[in-house]
Amino acid sequence: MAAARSCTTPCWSDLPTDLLASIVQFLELPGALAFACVCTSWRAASGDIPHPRTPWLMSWEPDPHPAGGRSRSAVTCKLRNLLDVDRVHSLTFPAGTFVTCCGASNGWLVVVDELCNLSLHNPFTSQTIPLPPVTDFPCVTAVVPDDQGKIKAYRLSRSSGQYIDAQQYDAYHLATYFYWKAELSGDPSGGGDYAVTVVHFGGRWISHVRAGDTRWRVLVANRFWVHGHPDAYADCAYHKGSVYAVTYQGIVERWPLDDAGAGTPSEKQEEVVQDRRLRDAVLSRHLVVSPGGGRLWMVSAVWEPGRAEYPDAVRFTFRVVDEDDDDARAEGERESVQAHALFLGMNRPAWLPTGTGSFPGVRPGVRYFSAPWMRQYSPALLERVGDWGGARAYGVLSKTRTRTFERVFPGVLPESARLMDCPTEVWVTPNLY
Amino acid sequence: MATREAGKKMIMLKSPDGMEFEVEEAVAMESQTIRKMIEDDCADTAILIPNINSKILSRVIEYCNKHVPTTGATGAAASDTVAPAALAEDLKIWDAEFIKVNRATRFDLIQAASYLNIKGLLDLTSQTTIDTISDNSLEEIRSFLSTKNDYLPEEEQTIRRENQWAFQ
Repeated sequence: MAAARSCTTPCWSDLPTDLLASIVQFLELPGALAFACVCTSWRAASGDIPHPRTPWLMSWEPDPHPAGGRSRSAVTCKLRNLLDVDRVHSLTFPAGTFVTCCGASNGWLVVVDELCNLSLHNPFTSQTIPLPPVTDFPCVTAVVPDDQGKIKAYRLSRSSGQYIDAQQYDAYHLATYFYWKAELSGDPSGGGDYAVTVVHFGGRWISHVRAGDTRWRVLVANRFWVHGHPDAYADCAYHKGSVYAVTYQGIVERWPLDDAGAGTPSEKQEEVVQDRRLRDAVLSRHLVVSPGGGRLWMVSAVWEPGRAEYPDAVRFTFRVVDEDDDDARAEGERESVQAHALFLGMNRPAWLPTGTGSFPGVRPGVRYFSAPWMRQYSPALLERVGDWGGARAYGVLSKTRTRTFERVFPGVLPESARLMDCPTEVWVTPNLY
Repeated sequence: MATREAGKKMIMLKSPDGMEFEVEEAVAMESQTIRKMIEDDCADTAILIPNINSKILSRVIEYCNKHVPTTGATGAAASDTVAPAALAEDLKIWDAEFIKVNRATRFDLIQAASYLNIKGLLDLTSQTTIDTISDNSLEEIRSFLSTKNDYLPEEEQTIRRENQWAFQ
């Protein structure tokens, strides 16, 4: 306590650090950032990195003509949170650094730049960590015109069974759709350990990289036909020391990692965990680890028309892929799930506790959904569903059996994420489990 | 606090500018700092509160008086007390009025709340500060709270670049 301080000229810069720290912990972003910017003592009190608490939805405008390439300009994304659904914050990426986003975890984004390279980016602190370039994948060769010395396009070889064809794509165009989903295993802040698994190249490849690696390791190349039907990977996840992946047809595969968490997948071939084709009218599939970490679920958004319980014709189903043998723990898990909200989409699935006051505005038992890459090979089905992007909430705790699929942000226009298009929205949340 | 009978135990609080305030012990014990002094027997009858002037101390006492739990008279009083929810609502309104003070007073109150460790008052003053920060631009925060912007120009540049959100 500075006993001699004059009370006539109060200076908020001189407040004790512990008092300032107690204030900043109540601040949401971007207020917490503003706090740290006020002066050096406030910055010291706010710690290194203000972590996001409230979930944010980041959305961006799709490019209507990506094939034509684009002038290099800055891209401004919109951010909204559940506390004030009408308020829009904007976040501008410098020219060339943002084309689309294909994943998010622990407040970090997995961003694709206009040369189709991936990087991890923290929108709250502007930290960026590059991942190995796209040319590292064996299917991709850079096309560099002699007179320019810069990458302009990529040649992709699609070796599919008997024949190989090579096609050339404008770099920017490729960036809009090359990566479908990236799963980031941990928080890279402050040199934290992490690994990234990506589903890419039309959902037919899966590759993996861990912190510090300079090369991608390809887990699956060119998977397309499964049981005589076209299929593609919809999602991937880290669970109990393995990488898991699920296809739109509901087949689950697993690659054990050398050591728990961020190790390198072993040379061992993938192991098929679940081999039965599901005949549901699936729109999207996700792999979700339970809050306690004991279970892995396949969560599916299924088209379910003509039933009174599903006025929006969408139903979410949970199917256990892997679980502990412990029954008591499984029972506790059910209760825990109802006390949580689940954020689902291109982000790493996030369970956030409700009722603790830590996440105001988040409702218990609600699945907050943002549109990822949807099933592509059944256009008729997608046509009938129409658009359903723009972030939706699907409550499972309502007293009636009715399950609606309502909009979270009235201000997000429906045309911003049509099913047939590339996704243009992602949840940015903490990942607690 | 079983000794809360007719003769309530009183305690004297002294501000550095020489004013004395006689308050019920229960009221004074809203402050965890004072509670500790009393429990550790560091206080006879008068406690000097350093660096909180009489004007602020009287306001702090006003706050504690209002917020001291009315648990004492359970029997007779219970029938004519209002429902807890209504009481809480009432307190909220009272708090909102209480904190309508100028910046200098608010600054002194937040420091006093921190030093005396009065959780309710600290939350109230912090929340008001948080609202100020959340609703204003950085320049407004700086001028409203009259903080010293002690960043060097080049540091300021870097911070502006890295924290573009805060500057909108």
